[in-house]
This record gives sequence, structure tokens and C-alpha cells, in this order.
Amino acid sequence: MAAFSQSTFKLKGKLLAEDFNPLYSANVYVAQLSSGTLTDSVGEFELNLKPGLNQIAFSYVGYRPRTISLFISRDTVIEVQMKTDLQIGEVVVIDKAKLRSADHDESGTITLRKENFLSLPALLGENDPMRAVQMQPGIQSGNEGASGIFVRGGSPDQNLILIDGTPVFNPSHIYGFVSVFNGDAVDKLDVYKDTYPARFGSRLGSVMDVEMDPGNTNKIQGTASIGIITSRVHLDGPLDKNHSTTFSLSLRGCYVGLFTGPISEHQYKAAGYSGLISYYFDDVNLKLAHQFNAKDRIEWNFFSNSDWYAFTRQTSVDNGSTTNDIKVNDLTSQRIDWSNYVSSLTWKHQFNDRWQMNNAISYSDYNFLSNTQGNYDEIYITSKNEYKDFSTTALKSYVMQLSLKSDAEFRPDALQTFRMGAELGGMQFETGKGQLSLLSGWNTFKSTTQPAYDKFVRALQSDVYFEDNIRPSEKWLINCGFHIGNYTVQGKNFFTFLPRANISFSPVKNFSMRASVSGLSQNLHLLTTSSTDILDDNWVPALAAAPPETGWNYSGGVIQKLPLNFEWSFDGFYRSMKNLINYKEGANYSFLHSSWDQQVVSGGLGQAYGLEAYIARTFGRITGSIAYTLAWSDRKFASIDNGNWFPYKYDRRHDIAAQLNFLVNKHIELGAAWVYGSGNMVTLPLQYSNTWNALQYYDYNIHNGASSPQVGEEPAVYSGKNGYRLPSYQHLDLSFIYKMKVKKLEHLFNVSIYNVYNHLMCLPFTQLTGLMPMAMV
Amino acid sequence: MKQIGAALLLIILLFISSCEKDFNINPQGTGNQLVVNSLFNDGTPITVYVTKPYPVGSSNNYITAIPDARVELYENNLLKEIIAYVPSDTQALFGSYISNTIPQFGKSYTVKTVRAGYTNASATDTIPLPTQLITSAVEKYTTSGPGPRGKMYMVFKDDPNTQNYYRINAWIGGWIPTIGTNGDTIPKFQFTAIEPYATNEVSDTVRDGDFLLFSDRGFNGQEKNLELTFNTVNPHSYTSLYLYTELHTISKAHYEYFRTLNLYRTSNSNEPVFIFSNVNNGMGAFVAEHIQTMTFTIK
Repeated sequence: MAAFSQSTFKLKGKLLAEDFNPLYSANVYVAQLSSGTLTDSVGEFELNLKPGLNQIAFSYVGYRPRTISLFISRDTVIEVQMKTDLQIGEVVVIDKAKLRSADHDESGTITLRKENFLSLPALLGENDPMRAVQMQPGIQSGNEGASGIFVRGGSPDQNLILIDGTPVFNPSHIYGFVSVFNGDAVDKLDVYKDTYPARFGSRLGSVMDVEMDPGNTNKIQGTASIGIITSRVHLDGPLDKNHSTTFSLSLRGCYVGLFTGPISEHQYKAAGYSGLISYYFDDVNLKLAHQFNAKDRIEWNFFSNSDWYAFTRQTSVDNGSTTNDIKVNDLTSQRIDWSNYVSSLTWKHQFNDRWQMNNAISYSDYNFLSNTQGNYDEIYITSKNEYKDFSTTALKSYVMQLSLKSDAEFRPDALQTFRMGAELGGMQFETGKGQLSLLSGWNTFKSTTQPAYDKFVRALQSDVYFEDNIRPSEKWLINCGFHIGNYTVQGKNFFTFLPRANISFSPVKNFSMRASVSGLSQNLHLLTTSSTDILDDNWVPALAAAPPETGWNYSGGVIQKLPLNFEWSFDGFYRSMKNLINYKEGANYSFLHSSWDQQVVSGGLGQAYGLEAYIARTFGRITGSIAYTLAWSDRKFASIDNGNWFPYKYDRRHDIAAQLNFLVNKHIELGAAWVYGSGNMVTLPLQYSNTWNALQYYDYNIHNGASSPQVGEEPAVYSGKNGYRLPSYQHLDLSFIYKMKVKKLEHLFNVSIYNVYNHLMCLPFTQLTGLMPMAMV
Repeated sequence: MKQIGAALLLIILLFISSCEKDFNINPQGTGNQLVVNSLFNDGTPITVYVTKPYPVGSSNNYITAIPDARVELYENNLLKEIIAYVPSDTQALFGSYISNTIPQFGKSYTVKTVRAGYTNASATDTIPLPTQLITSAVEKYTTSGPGPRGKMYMVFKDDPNTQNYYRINAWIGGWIPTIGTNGDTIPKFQFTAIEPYATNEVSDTVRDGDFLLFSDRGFNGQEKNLELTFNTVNPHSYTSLYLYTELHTISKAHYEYFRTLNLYRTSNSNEPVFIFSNVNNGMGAFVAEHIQTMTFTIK
């Protein structure tokens, strides 16, 4: 349920050139407010206006400035086409529903707005931006219980996820069910699957640029939502009389632990235990912006999330199975906390109509803390003897990045934009900090402590880039450039030169073809295990022993806008990867035996390739889309599975995402979303052979006079690395949204059903050897 | 309000408590594969063990020998013989296919196994050329005092033309008095394996409790003076005592098999370990070696 007061209306608009291409960073000024804004990278802007007549002025270099008068009586969307000659620009008022579907532009960039994720069925009451992203071709979630998203066969760490330009390391709450992005706080999200403009340099896969809501300039307003297990509140508006300072604040909390506690307690009790499972999370988004004048603006952005999971199980037995009057107490508990903190301060300055510059200092960190405890007690009441076996393991991982960045933009004319910039960043990693404490024995106990093999690393990253976006003719659009990076760690330098090119050609109106090539590199690895997905994941730096990952991406595609607001696209891609890392065979995840770098193999190769098809209806009472991806993703390490190529864990051969929205009337909206993916690849023991026995004791038996080997242990024969495909991942979700307005408050009821036909989906494994996988709804 | 709260709790309870279920694993892609094992050298006829694995979760959870397979042995890709099955004797649970062929070093041997209902399996390996053993000696063998109580060295010349792999095994053997069934004291010759430790550096080392495995990385083509130590077996009960040390020059497949086997055995198994197999369309190891034994009289 949501409600907000409304004495202003939103004006959303898009500024277009004569050839309908968006105009970036154009000035939009409202005389009544004495303030304005700039259009974004897709030519869009948003303003909050008072009801009545408003004068809105548009200006852009190379184009004639234009002022329009617009009578505002409701939320309105406009498109303004600017002219290079002295003709008057055309103003088109369109239906708000046009913004309900993701925008796939000719360059391959996908833009999602708040409306896109609000129209999807909500899971746990959350309209998650990441869910909307996962409805796009080539983008998959791992599955429920897996963190991150997987773009075109890449791993989660290969996605650069930015909040207002600052990276966030782990974008998942609640084991991947919900992302850390609060739909209320997100204004817009750009996804670059293959175009990789040169300004982005630090990941091997996609870029997701999340822009937080800067807050409206007119009046403080907000929304509040109360759900069964999550609630949230959002406020935004001006902070001063001049309306030059605005804020946007979003708070969200999840209290599912209030329910899982008593439920798990009940279930444990039925199984003869005592204990409970709890889970809570919260996140905060805060953005403050101050417009000094038409040329200078400062923004401060803060984001944090904290997740807290606890598990306890205890068995107490009095007068147990022995003849002694024995009391046994067996306790196992675990607590896991993880959090992100992201903050940035940005100064935007416009020198003139052609030059502008952004300077930013940003900070991002990710903490992961795990505490596991086991306590076994035997107390012999008569003899007063006591046996105790107690162990506790604490492990912590930490990654931090602090950056200074400066970007400049020069637009010599309406057809060309140069971008250039530099960044200096320091990174700090600590993996495996912790210890194992043991206390064991009879009556008198002596504890021992074994420290974990902590690995503390500092690194320095410096980058420069140059990018040219040029439209040499009406039919051609070219984005090209390069990104140069130098990464210093442990006294060793890694230099990268990454060329980028993306060329679009439109032989006829509304149809374009595209080809791109990108050099890629990243200086950190996400060390993932073959079993659980998130709890043992660790961000680790590139080192001499595990050099930066590099790769190339080649892609091409076509896109066509059809009548009746339909559009379709078809894409192909190939990505090569080098210097991947993976745990060694037999590696132990606890870091109690050796540090992470002693337990990995580096120099791994990877390749991902596939085809994507997409069709959508973007405008009208009925909108929707279907995305299909056929893809392969493989890895190869010299010392894993005898050096054979093996499927990547998220090698998903078929992936389908479909959504449908029906605007029944101004009050009721129906939605459906269906996701299908081939099952994940896992490593399973499938059979046992006597390989070991026949040879292990050969010599010994021969020397002892035996004529042939004896029977001994029988090792498991695995399916091959990731050689077993789990059952498919699929769910159908439905939503019903009812909107009504009572006085100044607009109410919104959202009822969503997740996984309507109750398909069972596999959770990550906790162990592999000999255990059957578990499944859950 | 309380009723609404109770109803919500009940709904959630129903949803969550009924949402977990086991399912059976369908062994995708394993087919019916044979297990073919053989460790052969240039001193004894090739013996091949052909057995049948059993799937995870099977109630018939034991290994069975396959006596009616067609086992062909090739020498340098030429058919040498079809090996006959010899049933198990009283000491062994498995029968085996024992050839009449005594292999020679430097030649490649291939075994092809055909059996109805199974995928045809084949494997090839070559016995490495012998390593030139220059000298060897026992330096000490004591029953008391600090440190290792057995110590020896060997000097050998590594072949510069290939990458070589080695395995060292050691035994203490000797006559030991035992009490017979009628109370008589009968001398019996008895072997006990002892674990060798290399005191000077060797590369790619794997230790398994019984053997030492290493490669020639770091001394390729050179003379290697290898010093070994042992924790001794108490020699007092022996009437005579010998130290047997074997230098196995082994194929790469042989090395990989023992390396991965050791890793499987000793790891905590967080990450799965794939035991090496050179059997195409099957499992097991068909691996070669050349053995040189050094015998030293201790007592």
C-alpha cells in the first residue's frame, strides 16, 4: 500500500534531434521555478511542475533555443523535436504508458525507468529493478538463492554495477531474492551488454549504471509502503526556499525474521530440536543536490545495506542412551552479516554550451563476516565428570575502493561529442581474517587458537579514457575510443590498452544494424565455490599469481521499430576471457589451512557465445515483451578436470523471459511475467569405481605375496566438472494493481503471486559428495 | 486484528513448511562404462582388471569383476594378443586378464576392451626408458637417537630428452620368528612399507604415506643426488633385515593418476577432485612404469 500527497505533477520529456536521435545534456529551464535541469544520455529530463501554465525553455548547441507553453493538469510526458534551422520545434504529448517498457536503442543500450519495474509482479512486495533487468535478452539471474546477475555467460563479478557512478560489490539481499536497489530510490538504469563505451573500464562483462532519484525541486512529497515482510518509505523534495537544494531519502527494512523465527522454532521442535532461523535486512538511499547556478551543481549520494542471518540448533538429552545419568547438550549456531557502503560527492560544472565537466570522489566497501560455533557437552551427573568439545570459527572478508575521478565532455557541434577523463583509485582487500578456536577434553579444558591465513593487499588503479560519439551522416552512428589502465599491486604493474568501437547503420528509417568490438579487463576476481553461491564468495584482487582478467567482446545485431508500437531485435555475441581464477581441486574454503591465493588456479580461459531474440510492444493498454537467449559458456583450467573445457556453472542453454501488462482502466492494471532457464551446471558424484584399490596396494600386495590387489576404498567418479545439469529454473508470476485517489492521497494496492504453478527450483548445495540436491519453491 | 495476524502466519507457515522436497539424480551421460585398471612394467606380463562400477544410491553397492569381456592388447598399435580371463584365486576377490606379453620399455601398449552392454573402452601408455642409476648407499639405520633413523642417497641421471616423473617406494624386509600352529618357532620373511622423505628439494612432490612422487623439473637432463630419510621399523625382532628401495620411472599418466588420487584422499573435499583417467570412454588407469630396485643389507 502506498500513498503520497500531490500538489505538483511530473513532466517527463525527451529532446530529439531532427533525425529523432536523443540530445544529451541539453538545457531545460522553467521560468516559474527559476531552475531547470539537463537532459540525460538518452535525451530525457524530468521536472515537477505546479498545475497551470508553465513556460519551459530548451537550448542546445547547434539548435535554435525554444520556449514552449504547457498547461499542466496531470502527469505529462512530452517529446520535443529540435530543429537546426529556424523552424519551430514540434511538441508531441504522448501517453504515459509509452515509458512502460525498456528502451532498446540503436546503439545496443537498454534503458529501464521506474515505470518498468513497477509494472512487474512484485516478489515479497518489492518492485525490484534487477527483476526488470533480468527480463532483457542475454541477462539472467543465477536462480533463487544465487547472488548477482549473469550477462551473456559471464560471472557476477564481471558486471560493473554503479550507483551514481560508484561501484557496488554485492547487489543482493536475501540470497538473491531481492536486489539492494530500492525501486523507490532508483530513477533510471542503463544496461550496456556489449557496447562498453570507453568511459567504463574495470569489468569484463556488462555495465549497469543506476541513477538514483535526485528529488523534485518543487515540494516535499513521498510514498510509504507496508508489506507483510518488508516496508519502505521514500521522501524527496526541496530543502530551501529557493528550491535549489533537493533531497531524496529512501529507507527499507525486511523483518522476515519475525516469521521465520517462530516457524523454524516450530519445525525444529517437531524434529526434536530447539532453535531458530532469523533473517533481516535494511537499506538506506540518500541523495542531496544543490544547484548553485545554471552552471554548477553538487550532489552527495549515500547508499548502505546490511543483511543479518542467524541460525541456531540445539539438542539436549537427559539420561541418554548410556547407563550413566548423563546429560548431553549439542549446539550448532551460525551468524552471517554482510553489508555495502557507497558514497560519492560530485561537482558538475558547465563552462559553456560546449564544455562541461564532472569531478567526483567516491567510496565503496563490502564487508562479509561469518561466525560458526559448535558446542558438544556431556555431563555425568553422579561422577561430576564433564566432556566438552567446543569450536568457533570467525572469518571476515573485506574490499574497499576509494576513487578520484574527473570527466570532461566537449560538444563541438550537434553531431559529435567527445568525452575524456581520468580516475585514480586505491583498493584494499582483506580475505580470510579470522581464527578457529578449539576447546576440548575432560573436566579441565584448555583452549587453542589457530589463526586463519589472512591475506591483506593494497592496490592502486589509474585510468584514462577518450571517447568520440559521432554521427557522420543521418544513417551512421559511431562510438569509438580507448581506455588505458595501469594497475599496481605488490610492486608489480599491469598495463592495459582497451580499444572500443560500436557502429550503427540505419539503411532505412526505424531499422538499424550494429556491430561492436571491445577490449576488456578487470583487476579483481570473485572467488566462487562449487557449492554454495553467496556464503563462500570472496572478492579478491588480481596479483602476480592471479593476474587481471582480460578479454574481447564481439557482437552484432539488428533492431527494428514496427507499426503498432512493436519492435524486435536480434543479436549475436562472442566473448573470450583470459586469466580467470578458480579454486583448485580439493581446495578448502575456510582459509584455515592456507590463504586464498594458495588455493586457486589462475590462467583460466573462458568463452561465451550465443544468439538473442527480442520482441516487444512498448506502448498501449497492452504491452509486453519476449526475450529468448540461446547461449554457451565454457571454462578451461590446466589443472581442473584434466585440462578439459567444462561448462560454466551458469551455462544456460535456453533462457526465456516474457512479460505482459494490461492496463484495464485507470484503476486496475494486470501483469504477468514468466521466466524459464535451463538448469545450472553442477559437479556431482554419480558412481563409484575401484580405480583406487587396484593400484594403491599393488606394490604392497606383490611384496607380501598376494597375487592380485585387495578390495579397499572406492572413490567417487564425478560427472566431470559442472557435468550435471540440474532441472530447469522457471516461474510464472502474476500481479494485480489497484490505484485509487482519496483526496490528496493516492493509494496503490499491489497483490502479486510468485511461482503460480509451484515449480520446484534447486537451491545451492551445501555439500556435493554423496548428497542429493534439495529443491524448494 | 489478531485473527488476521493468525491467518497470515498460518498461510506463511503452510507456504514455507511445504516448500522443500528431495529429488533423485538421473545419472546423465554416464552410460555403461567399464573400469579398466592396469599398472604394468617391463618385467612382468600385463595384467588388466576389468570391473563394473555402481551408481550413487544403488542398493548393489559393490564392485564386480567382468569375466567375459574381449580384451585386446596392442603393441605399437599392432594387435599382440587377445588376453584371457583368469578367475580369482583364494587371495583375490577379482579375477583378471593376464597376458602372455612381457612389455618392453620404449614401446606403447594399448588395451581395447569390448563387452556387450558397455561402451568400448581403450587406453594407451608407454613404459618410460630406464633411468641411469649411478650409485646408491645407506648412510645410517639406527633404532634410537634424534631425527630420522634411516637415511640413504641415490644418484641417477635424468633423461634430457623427455620430461620424466618418478615414484619412490621403500620396504623393510627380513626374517622374523613367528609362532606356528603347533607352538613351534618358524622363521617368516616379512615386508613392511616405510615412507620415504626427500631431504633435498624436488618438484611437483606428492606424498601419500607409502610413496614419494616427483618430477624432473629443476634437474632435467642432469645427475640428481637424492637423499632420502625414513622412520625406521624396529629391527630388533628381525634375525636379518634388508632395505628395499624402488625407483620407479613412470609415465605422465601414471604420475597424474597418483597425484589426483592422493589429492582425493587427503583433501577435505570442499572442491571436488577428479581422479585422473586415461581410459577413453571408460574409467580407471592403464599406466606404465619401469622399476629399479636397490637392496641394502641392514642386519
